[in-house]
Amino acid sequence: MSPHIPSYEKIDYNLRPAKNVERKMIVESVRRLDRALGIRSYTYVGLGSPYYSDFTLLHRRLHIGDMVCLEREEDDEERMKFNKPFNCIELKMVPAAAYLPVHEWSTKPTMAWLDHDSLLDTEILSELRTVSKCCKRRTILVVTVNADPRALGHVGQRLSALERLLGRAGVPADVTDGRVSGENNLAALFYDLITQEIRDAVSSKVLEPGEKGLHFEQFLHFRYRDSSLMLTVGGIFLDEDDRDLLENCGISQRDLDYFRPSKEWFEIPVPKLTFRELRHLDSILPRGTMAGALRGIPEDQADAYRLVYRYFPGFVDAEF
Amino acid sequence: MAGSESGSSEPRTEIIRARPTKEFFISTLVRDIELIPSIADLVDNSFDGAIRTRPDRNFAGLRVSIEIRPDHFKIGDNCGGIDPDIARNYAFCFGRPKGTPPLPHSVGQFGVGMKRALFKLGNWFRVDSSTSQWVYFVEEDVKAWSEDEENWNFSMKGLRPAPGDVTPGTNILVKELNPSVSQDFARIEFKKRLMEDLATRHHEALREGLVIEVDTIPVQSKVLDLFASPRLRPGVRVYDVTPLPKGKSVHVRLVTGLFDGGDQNAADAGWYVFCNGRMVLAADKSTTTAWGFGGTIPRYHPQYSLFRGYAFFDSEDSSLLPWRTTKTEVDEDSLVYRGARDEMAILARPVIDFINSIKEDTSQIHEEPDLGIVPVDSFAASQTFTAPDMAPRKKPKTEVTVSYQVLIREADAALEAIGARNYREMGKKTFRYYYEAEVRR
Repeated sequence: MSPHIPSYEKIDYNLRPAKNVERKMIVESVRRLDRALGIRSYTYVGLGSPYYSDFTLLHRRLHIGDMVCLEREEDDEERMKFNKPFNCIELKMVPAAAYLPVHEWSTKPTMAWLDHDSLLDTEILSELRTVSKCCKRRTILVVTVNADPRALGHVGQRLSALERLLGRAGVPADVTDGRVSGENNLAALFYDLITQEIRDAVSSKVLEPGEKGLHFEQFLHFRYRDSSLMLTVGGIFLDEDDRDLLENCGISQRDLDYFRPSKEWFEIPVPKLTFRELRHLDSILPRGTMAGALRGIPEDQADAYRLVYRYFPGFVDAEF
Repeated sequence: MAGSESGSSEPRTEIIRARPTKEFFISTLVRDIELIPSIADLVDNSFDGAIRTRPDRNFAGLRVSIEIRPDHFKIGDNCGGIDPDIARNYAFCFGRPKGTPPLPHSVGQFGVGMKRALFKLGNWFRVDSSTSQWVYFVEEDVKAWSEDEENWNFSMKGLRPAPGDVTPGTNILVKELNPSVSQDFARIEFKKRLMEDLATRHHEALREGLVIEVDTIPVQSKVLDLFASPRLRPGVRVYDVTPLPKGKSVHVRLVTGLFDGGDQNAADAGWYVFCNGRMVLAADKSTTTAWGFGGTIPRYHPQYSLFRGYAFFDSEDSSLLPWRTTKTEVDEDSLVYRGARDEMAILARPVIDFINSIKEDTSQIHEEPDLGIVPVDSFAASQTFTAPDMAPRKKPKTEVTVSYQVLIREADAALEAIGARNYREMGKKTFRYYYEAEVRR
């Protein structure tokens, strides 16, 4: 297998349009929870990348002022320190699996985004397990993993690669090499494993005196492909008193286009359009039909853009 | 097919024999347990007797005496004896019958320990029991008993009202020992092994005052210690798993911290698991206790020799505890245990972080001011593991590796000239030669 190269070394995080859209959608949905949760008082736990894109957005848009960045590559420490955009970010040179058990869950309401660029493995599952065991009422958890079968290597070797990542016992019996190679099948398997791990762990969570049983209320399920196929699952741990919380905050089928509480996912499209086309489509959105006004823009690209136009980044070449 | 000869094509129901054979109990079941744990099982029965006799758990004056000889084995106690009714209906049954009177917080559980131990030890046994009201004995020649597959009964002999001077208790004698048992009993180090084993397995019973002696030498309770100081506090997690079947609960107490008993091989490092005070797992360093299980805790490595973890599971109803019949393993299928293992990993993590922070320099811990040794039992309330900041001390570097490339023929010639066995030695010798001649003067 080729050595693992962090995705930020392949491409500027900021220039990945679907990732960019995903970040904005996560922020938008979490912002809706603000009136119930008081997001400003939350601690954000995220994974390291010298671009700190998620940290920047969450601090700017949600005013989260207590942030922990987990970076496992000790060699990157100096660069990570140098790139810290705000001084409210505490950089910890430690793998997430080792940090999460010692995070102060009981005193700090927490939003954790385990934004991995690697395939799901037992270590990531154990991170989910720790969060689900340690979380408090209204802890927010988002996890992203690579779900691209090509990352498992060549056809014929993919099942054994998967068994190396998840352990032989961690791979369901009906999974075959051919099946994981099918478009979206690996993502479906990872979705099942992720939600199963969270559900299983939180159901056996030890409760403090007076604490009520929690469950994981999923509201995000993204798939997107900037280069590799990525899978994101997000939600919040709630108790029975919070039954209507999401609905009351406008996180529902009715109020949020990308609300996905189950195995149905929202595909973040990456329309291939010029700037002129983007501006033109903006001018005929959101009301009415675009038909007849497309000026030669392919219809499927226009339809894709309609789903994300409010979030789509407009990159320009700029010199600073 | 056999059935087709009868000519009838009607489907029928026939009887399949599924009842156990005596051989299964005498020869098969005993393979699951080693000799010493099976002796510990017999001590469990005495301990349960002690709990029954003294529900307040004041065990003063109660004792279990073991005698091991190459030709016989004896274990006797003054812990109340087996009531004839219990003996008739429960104690000698293979497996625990439904309706067995419950004994809260007992360590006997499966209805298999005593019989399995008797068969493991030898071919002839006699169990004498006296309660405050009755005396009797049960005596069997196992070979003779095993020959009649139909009759599973033992005989209760000499049943009569207890004389006034009787001490309620049970005495077991086993003779015609199995050859390997006889060989073990003859070895001079066996007694020590047995005593050390009983000291940890029955740590709780000993601590509570029950006397266990082997050939009249009392077994000393092995105290389970952790380091503590004003800056160093073990991590403790206490909780109840409830509700469980029958409305019962399991009380779980987990403790993690540091200790160094001067044991060079770190054999004592790891997790210790107890069920109702009975140790079922000692110094475990496997995935069973979360080492290398997922990514939370690394695989065990000798650098973690300071790590100590203790997991205590207690329940009024011992059937809810995560142990297996041999009491030398935990039942990893138990949901109580699986939940606890996650908590064990979380509680172990800060200890691992601390050990990582001092690297291999474990001796530093001994320089901690006011470092004390505190028994594990004294930590009863949940608390976070805290440890002082100890940066690894850099040992001043005194040596350096020098490497360079030279022509093979020149190296070989120099090797021969200076009389070295290999290039490495030649390198050292040539350097030493130059140093002595040109540098040190």
